[in-house]
Parts: sequence; structure tokens; C-alpha cells
Amino acid sequence: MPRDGFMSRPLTRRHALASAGLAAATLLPGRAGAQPRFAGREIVATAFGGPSQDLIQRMVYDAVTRETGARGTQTPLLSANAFARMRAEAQAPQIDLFMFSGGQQVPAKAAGLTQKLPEAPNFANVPATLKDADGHWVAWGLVTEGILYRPDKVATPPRSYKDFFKPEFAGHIAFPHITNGYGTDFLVMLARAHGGSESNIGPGFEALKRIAGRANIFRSAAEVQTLFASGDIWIMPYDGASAMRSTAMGIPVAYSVPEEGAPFVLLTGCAARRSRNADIASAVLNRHLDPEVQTAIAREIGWAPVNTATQLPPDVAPFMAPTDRLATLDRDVINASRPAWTERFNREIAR
Amino acid sequence: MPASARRGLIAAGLLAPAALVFALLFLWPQFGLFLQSLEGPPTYSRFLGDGYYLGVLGNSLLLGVCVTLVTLVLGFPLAFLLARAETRWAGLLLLLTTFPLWVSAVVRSFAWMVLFFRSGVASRLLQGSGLVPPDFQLIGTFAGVVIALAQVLLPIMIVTLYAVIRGIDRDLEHAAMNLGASPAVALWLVTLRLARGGVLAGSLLVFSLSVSAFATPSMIGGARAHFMAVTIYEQTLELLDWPFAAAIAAILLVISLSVALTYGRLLGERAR
Amino acid sequence: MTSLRSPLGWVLRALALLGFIYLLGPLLVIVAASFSDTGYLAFPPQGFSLRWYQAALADARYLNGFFVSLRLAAMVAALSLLVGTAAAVALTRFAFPGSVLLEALFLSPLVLPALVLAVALTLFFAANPIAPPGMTRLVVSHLLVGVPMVLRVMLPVLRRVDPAIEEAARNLGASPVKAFLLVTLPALRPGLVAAAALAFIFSFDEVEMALFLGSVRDAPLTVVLYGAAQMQMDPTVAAVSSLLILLALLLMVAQQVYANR
Repeated sequence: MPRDGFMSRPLTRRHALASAGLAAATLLPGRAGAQPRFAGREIVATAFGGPSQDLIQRMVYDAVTRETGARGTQTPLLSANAFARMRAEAQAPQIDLFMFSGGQQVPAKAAGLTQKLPEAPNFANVPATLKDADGHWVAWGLVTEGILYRPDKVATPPRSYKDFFKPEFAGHIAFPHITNGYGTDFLVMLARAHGGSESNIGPGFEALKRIAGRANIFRSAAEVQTLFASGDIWIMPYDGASAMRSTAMGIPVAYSVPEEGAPFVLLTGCAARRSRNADIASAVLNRHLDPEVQTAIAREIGWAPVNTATQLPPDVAPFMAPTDRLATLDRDVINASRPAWTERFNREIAR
Repeated sequence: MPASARRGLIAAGLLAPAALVFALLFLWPQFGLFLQSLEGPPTYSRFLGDGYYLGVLGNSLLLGVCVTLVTLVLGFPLAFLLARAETRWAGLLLLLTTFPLWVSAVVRSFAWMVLFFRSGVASRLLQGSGLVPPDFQLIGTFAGVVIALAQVLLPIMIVTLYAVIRGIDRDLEHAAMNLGASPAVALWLVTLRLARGGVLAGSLLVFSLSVSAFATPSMIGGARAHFMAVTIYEQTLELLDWPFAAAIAAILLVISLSVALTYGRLLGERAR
Repeated sequence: MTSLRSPLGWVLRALALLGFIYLLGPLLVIVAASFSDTGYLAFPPQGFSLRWYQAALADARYLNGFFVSLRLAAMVAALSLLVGTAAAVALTRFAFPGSVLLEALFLSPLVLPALVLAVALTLFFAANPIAPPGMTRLVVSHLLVGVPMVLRVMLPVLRRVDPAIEEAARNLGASPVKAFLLVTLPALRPGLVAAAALAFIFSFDEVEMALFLGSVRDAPLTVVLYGAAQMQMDPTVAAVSSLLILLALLLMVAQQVYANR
């Protein structure tokens, strides 16, 4: 397994120099010493809570305040809640910058809830597939999924989604509900492992049905650690960052990249259509994308960098799938099928 | 001004603030949602014509009834003893019963999860009793949701009952006893009858808060929590079908209120 | 109390004891976990550490959130008590058509999941900014649940207070207001305290409306806890909850000692 992580490339001298001078170069273009460009203004953004919020406050918002004069306030809001709030207060947004982890930026843009973000230097280093062609959203992180397991209870590390059917795991499996994005991806990967696909999901449901009876099906991300800590749960499909967090909390949890490939979700940012602070939002997202910040987020939270100029620290590699092992899912088909799949899941799986 | 007109004016004045708050912040916004439920593809027939959704409705009502019963059975003795206690520390004990309310529902649910896992204390107790299979766990079961939710709502039942029982004239109990009734009969006949209003009020509060509860059912029940509130959250947040969510909310409102009002009639609260 | 020495009295006591264990047992898990040396909620706890308390006290957001919540809940309790009791008096002391319907209406917000109220109110306020965003919006929104709680508790309490006594006071020359203040109000005290307490605690513990309508800068404690418990459930949250329990306990004991002097 290659030890380098996602979208990384060797740290060059040129890049190191660029990185060092980046903040001054991008946030105060040619106006060092002049009046900060957002003096006295304020931006409100959603956040994913927990340690990530603290880290980002420190490394992103505080830095933006120092460099531009704009104050930044984060409010914790899960992607789904955030999107509901974005929709409900479209006429008079209280929040300028919305962060999503469940792909909500796509329906948000389609519903006319977003606006074009002013260009920022680091956006150019994000691969075209990870940002909106019209500039309405940009990804600033990537979370790779796979199989999480307790190495102290499981002798041979799981290598495939088919390993969930091993008899020794019966009664020790947990998986997320389909309304949790990882639950949907698990269903799709099971379908793929059994000859199906996004557009032929039947085999996925058949497979899920075989393990659902004795599995713990949970809804919220916060439960992952509690489940593993209980000692009853040995294996579940989830993301590498959670394995990293569990390990840091003292629960032995390892991450394995399945041979079928690792699905992933994007962490994206977009500005509310009627927000008057899209320029600050752009500066904030640009700062998220600084290699220095990308590295810190990877190391402390386990979210992979998307700025191709970032050098990935080697110690996070066990919790991230390398680029060539990623599985790209057809999100359009998945989003269109979601209502039908949820109905079927509630009736057939969650019994 | 005739006395009746003046009385009417006073009544209107007393009701006005509540009426204003509800008209502005409840009826108006909810009517907006209700209008949404009428847009697009049919929503009400989709719900009412589907056995699965009717089952979800049934689950929610059953949850409400079970939680209400548990809180009544455990709450009445507590409220009664506290209301009648001679000790000066009764007030402290009463406040002690409200402790669960100080801990947020999410945190409380985590505590229950720790107890409800297969290796958790509560599940172990049940396994030890031999009533359930050895790998039984309360997580993901209806019983688990009832146990966890009733603990959250029990303080509300106790506080409501206490307020009413404290107001009951104890001389009436003594009078009943003096007339020859045994203490037990006096207690049941007089107190329970007089506390009827409190039983009704507590039941209505607990029942309503049970059918609308989300955090506890979704965390303890997990994917197997097929309840109205969970379905509404799913449709609103994950599937973004707001018309359908609004229709489910409207159905929940109408059915739950009918159940609650029927219960009130049966208890004959207004007849006193 | 004679009736309590009967067999039935013992049954009542046994049930009450069971009720106490049931109410406080899960809290024991939280308090125990807050002293745990592990980074996750564990029961029985493993090891002993005060670092979660250190973390909780070092984070200004918790303390700030606590004071925001205190202010919020106090305002909601006071307003709910005023508005709800007035409505309850109207419903019990005056007969008018449609009062059953009104009672049903006042119960309705409790039946709806908080998210439904939160979304509807967010839509409403976005279109009709009749209250400034932040604390004011949240307070008036919480009235939707606070008022029904007060109303529900006060209806039976008011019905139990004999209007005849009030009548008698008035016959003796007291004005209606004076009769109410002197005769009825003292009898209502346990009810008023209970009703205010329920409204206060509800508001203190409410998440959804706080997430959608609350002030972003001054987040109530529930929102801070929601954020902290979003990605993981670490014992800092248990430590904050334990501190709340401790504070409530201290206030109660102080009040009792004062009252019993």
C-alpha cells in the first residue's frame, strides 16, 4: 500500500516558500500595511463541531481576523440541519458561509440558494472535480470511507465488504442508517461487491438483509465511539477520521481500505445567496486550503487535503485511503434514488 | 357597562397575550407549512394509504400511551408521598426528582445507551433473569425507548401531580376516614378522584412530549425507531420533502389531539 | 399520616423508591463517566481523572453558554408564567364558547416535534422579521412550549381552588383583584412554582429552536453541547452535565437550609 495519502505530491522548495509567504500574498494582495480590507466586518459560518471547530477557529478564522480585520463566528450545525436552515431563511440569511459534508452544496446551488464565490489563489490548486464549475462551492477536505474494526478482537484485518458476512462477526456488526451518508455508500458498495451497481441496487439490499438482523443500526456519528467502546461491536463501515479519533480516545480501532475501493465524501463551503459577505467567505475558504492548514486538519482531524500542493504527513496515512484506491460513486444516481432507497431500507432492513 | 360585558372584557384581556402569541407564532407559521403539504404530488393519501406509515403512526401513539402509563404508575406514589410528607426536606426531595431534566436529552440518552448495550448493566440484568436470550440488548428495542423516554418525562409528571395534590384539602381525606372508610379506600377514592385534574394534565403533557420526542427515540431505537417524529426529521432533513413532512406533522397533530381530548373526556375533567 | 401505615402505604413507598432509583440511576452513569480516565463514556468507569472538568472549565464557551441559557430560561419562565396563568384564569373562571377548542390549540405545540416548530418559525421570521434575530426570537419562540406547560399545570390547580372562597372574600368587601391576591394566589403557589420550573427547565434544555433561531454569537449551553457531542461523545460533556447537577444540588440545599432555619 502506498504510504502517501490523497492528492499529495512531494514537498518542493518552491512550494515551501510559497506556503510561507502565502498568507500575506493572498489575503493582503500588495497592500501590506494598508487598512485591512475587511475591517470591522463579520462573517458567520456553520461548523462540524468538536475538535475540528476549535482547530479551524484557531487556524482559519483567527488568522483571517488578523490579516483582514473580519471577525469570524462559527456555529455548530450538522450538514442536514444546516441545509434546512439555509433553505428556511433564504430570504434573510443569518449565516453567510455554509459547510456541508453530505453533498448538500449540489441541491443548494440547484435551488438558487448559493452565489458565486470570488476567486481566491488556493482554489486553483483544487482539482476541477472537487469544485463547482461556476464557482459556487469549493471542497476544502475529503473524508475517505472504508472498514473500521477492533484489531484486538479481529485477528485478520477485513479486506473486503464481503468480510461482513464472515460468521465470526455475527452479532458484532454495526452500520449506519441510510440517512447517514455512509449508510448509503455502504449499501452501494455492497451492491457493487455482489454484482450490482448504483443503478442496480437490488443485490445491495439482498446483502444488507443478510447481516441486518443481528446488526446494530445507528443514526448519529457521535455514536461510533460509544459503539466500539461497548466491546460488543467489532466491525463497521465508516470513515478513517473516526478510526483516528477513536484511537486518540483510547479505543483500539483500525481502518482498512476495502479491495472494492474506498468511497469518500467532500467537505465543501458555499456562501448563502443573499449574504453580503461572499468576499470574506472566499478568504476563509482560501485559508482552509492553505497547505499549512490542510496539513493540520489532516493530522488532527483525519480529513484528507484537497489542495494538490499539500504534502501529507506520513503519520496520518493509516487513516486515509490513497488516491488510487478511491471509489468514485455516481452521486447523481444516488441522490435521485435516495427517497426510494430510504423507503425500502425502512421497510426491509430496519425491522 | 353590564356585569356580563365587563366579565367578557376581562376574560378577553386575560386571554389576549396567549392568543396573540399563538396566532402569530403558531397558527400563521404552521398554516404556511400546511399549505406546502397541499402542493405537488398527493401527500395525505400517500401516508394514509400506506400500511408502513400507518404502522409508524400506531407506534408513536403506542409509545405515548406506554410512556404515560409508566410515568403515572411511578410518578403518582412519588408525588403523593412528597406532597404529604411531614419532613421539611420534602421540597428538596421534590427538586431531586427534577434532576434528569437538567441533563440534556442527548447526554441522558448516551447514558442509557451505555446501560443498554449487550454488555451494559441493564441488558445484563435482563439476561441474568433468564427472560430474554443471552445476547439480548435493549438498544434498538421498543421497550428500551419506553424506559429511556419515561425517565426523561417522569419529572414532568411528578411536578404536575405534586402541584395538584398539594392543593387538595387533606381534611377531605380525614373526613372520608371518619365516615368509616379504611385509609386505603379513602386514599384511593378521595385523593385519586380529587387529583384527577393533575392526572389529566400530567398525562397530556407526557403523552404530547412522547409523540413529539426525537433525540431519545432515534438514539435508543436507532434505525428501528419507526416513529412519527423520526420520520418527520428524515423527510425534512435528509430527503428534503417538506410537503410530505408537513403532511405527516399535520396528521400527527390531528390524531394526537383527538386521542388527548378523548382521554380528557373519559376522565371527565370538566365535570369535576 | 394514617393511610401510609397501611399495606397500600408500603406499596406506595416501594414504588416511590423504585421511581427514585430509576430517575437518578442514569445520572450516576454520567457523573461516574465524568471522572473516568478514558476518553469515552464508560460504565463502570475506568481510572480516575479530573481532566474533563479542567477541559470544561477552561473552555469559556460552556460558562458563557450557561449564562446565556440562564438568561433565556428565566425570561421564558417569567413570560410563560404570566401569559399562561392569565389564559388559565380566563379558561377556568369565565365560561365562553370554544374554550375546549382553545385548550386543544394551546396543547398543540407540544405534540409537534421541535424541528417542525423550528422550521416553520425560521420561514416565518425570514419573511416577517417582527422580532430581532437572536435572543428575542428565541424567547418568543420558546413561549410556544412554555405557555402550554404553564397552562396545563395551572388549569387543574385553578379548578381545585374553590371560587366560593374568593366569592366570600368579595362579599366581605374585598375588591376582585384584592380577593384574588389575598385568597386565591397563596393557594396557587405550589402550582405557580411547578409551572415556572417546567417552563424554565424546558427552555434550558431545548436544542432545535436554539439551533435555528438562537443567536450565533451568544450560543445557549444546549447548542454548545450539541456542537461538542457532534463528532464524538467525550467526557467533557459529562463533566458539564455533572457540574449542572452539582449546581442545582447546591442551590437546593442552600435554599432548604435557609428555609428550615
